[in-house]
Amino acid sequence: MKGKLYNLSQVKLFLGGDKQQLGNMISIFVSETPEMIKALNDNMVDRNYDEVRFYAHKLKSSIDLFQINGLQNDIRVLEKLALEKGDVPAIQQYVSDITITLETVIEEIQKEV
Amino acid sequence: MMESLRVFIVEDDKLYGEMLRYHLALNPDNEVLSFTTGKECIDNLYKDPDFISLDYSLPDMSGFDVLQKIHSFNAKLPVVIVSGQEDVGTAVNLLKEGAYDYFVKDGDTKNRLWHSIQKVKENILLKEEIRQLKDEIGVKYEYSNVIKGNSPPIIHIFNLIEKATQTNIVVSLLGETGTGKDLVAKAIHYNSPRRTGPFVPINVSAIPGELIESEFFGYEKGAFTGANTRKMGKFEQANDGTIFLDEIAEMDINMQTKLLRVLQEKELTRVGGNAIIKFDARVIIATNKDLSEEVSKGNFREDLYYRLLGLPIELPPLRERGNDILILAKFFLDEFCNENNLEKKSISTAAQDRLLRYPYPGNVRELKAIIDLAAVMANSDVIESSDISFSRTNFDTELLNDDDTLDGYTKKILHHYLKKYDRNVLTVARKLDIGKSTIYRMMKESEL
Repeated sequence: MKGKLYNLSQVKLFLGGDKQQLGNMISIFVSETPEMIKALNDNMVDRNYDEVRFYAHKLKSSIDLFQINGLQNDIRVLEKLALEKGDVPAIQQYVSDITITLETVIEEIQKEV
Repeated sequence: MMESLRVFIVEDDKLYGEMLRYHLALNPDNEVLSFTTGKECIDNLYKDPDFISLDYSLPDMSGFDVLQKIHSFNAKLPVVIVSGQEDVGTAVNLLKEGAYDYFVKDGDTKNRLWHSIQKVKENILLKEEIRQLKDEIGVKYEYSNVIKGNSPPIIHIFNLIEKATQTNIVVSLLGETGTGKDLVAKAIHYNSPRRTGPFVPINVSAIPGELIESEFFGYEKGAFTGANTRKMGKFEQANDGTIFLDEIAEMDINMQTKLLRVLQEKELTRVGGNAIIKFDARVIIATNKDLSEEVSKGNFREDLYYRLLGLPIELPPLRERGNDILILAKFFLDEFCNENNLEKKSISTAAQDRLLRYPYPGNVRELKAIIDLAAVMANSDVIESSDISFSRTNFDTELLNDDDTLDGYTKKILHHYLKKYDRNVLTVARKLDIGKSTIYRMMKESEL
């Protein structure tokens, strides 16, 4: 059986069993993340790598909080690549991978709620 | 008791912001307001936050710009910068700009913020405590609490103190030793708008000449042997408050020149340093010498004299304050009995008469010493005349305060001089400008 892409144990621990607040946090994640993914992709297309770095930076805390598997390192690599503005194919690849994973997480996490 | 602490969270990552808000709001004493842009934060500063958690990377402004705008609104507002990346250079610059702290976003950020807020709360409570203590000191130094009495000379002093508290004019307190110049200086400070600032007293005569400049103006590390750290001088310490220069007439002429320049420019340089430091301190001086006479003698600079004269308040000697002597005596007696857990005492009529006749060369300070001793010597709850002892050095001044005949006074004078000059008749005759034979005759008649 395929494991979950995310892990809510840390955020649950932090909230101390406050289910209402957990629902609230997930709602914010579900509503805010698509906008950030869109901005990340739009700026990559526009080759505006400073903004790509900015949105990668912003996504970092959500990815850490929900312990999204595999992305905790990828998002940091993307941030670094966007800062350097050198390896465009790698930036495109990372943006694509991160987008797919986050969209899947949003779908799965909504079911959980 | 402190009211709730208003905390601003400025974070464009709504999820992270919500996490911080939730955590900090667990303490019901925290009122947490969240904003997602720098502009929103700045527009809401009128709500007077006590603490701001500021994300360094905002969409509309950099954290640096927001910090500057916050500090231009309130330079003392504690702002913690929360950044997603570890950048030592940025952190140092932000701390130099006045950030309270710099945290990198990680799992422990919320706890560190919590502790920062606790520290800020403690600081606010301490400041509140200091303010209350200063208010209490202000009450303690209300004129009527400091200067007891209702004689016309003292009523006049009250009027002058009232005038002194209303402006920043230099005040020169003149009067004999023991007249309460230091208490009046404190009364002026603690009843003036500067009451929340420091009151820094300095006795000029108590500081060795070679140290006075560094005591007044401070010194830099390495300025001289033993200067292991930078030290702030008394003038800097008195910033926003009052500096009280007691016994100013004892200052040497070179230091007077330096003091004059500092008072004129309202800026100073620490010993061994180059930086010019502005200060804003009210100056009160005191002396028991006649400063104008010191100017005539060349001991005191004339230009400094005029700069320091300001509002002169001449404190009357106790002997000119009539019934105030009894008011003070009663006050000192009650105070002494209270402090020493003694039964409350009163002063007999005879003792009061005796106190009123004495000239008090040591003024209020001497009266206090006399009353303290009388309280100890008294065998009942009434101070009798016999319980009151004036110091030996004052015996001669007491001489003329007893009602006596001319013959009686003559005998007392002769007795005093004989004792003073070891019964050397020749010297006594010379001092009193009378013949030796007259002295011998009087001694025989008076059986001295």
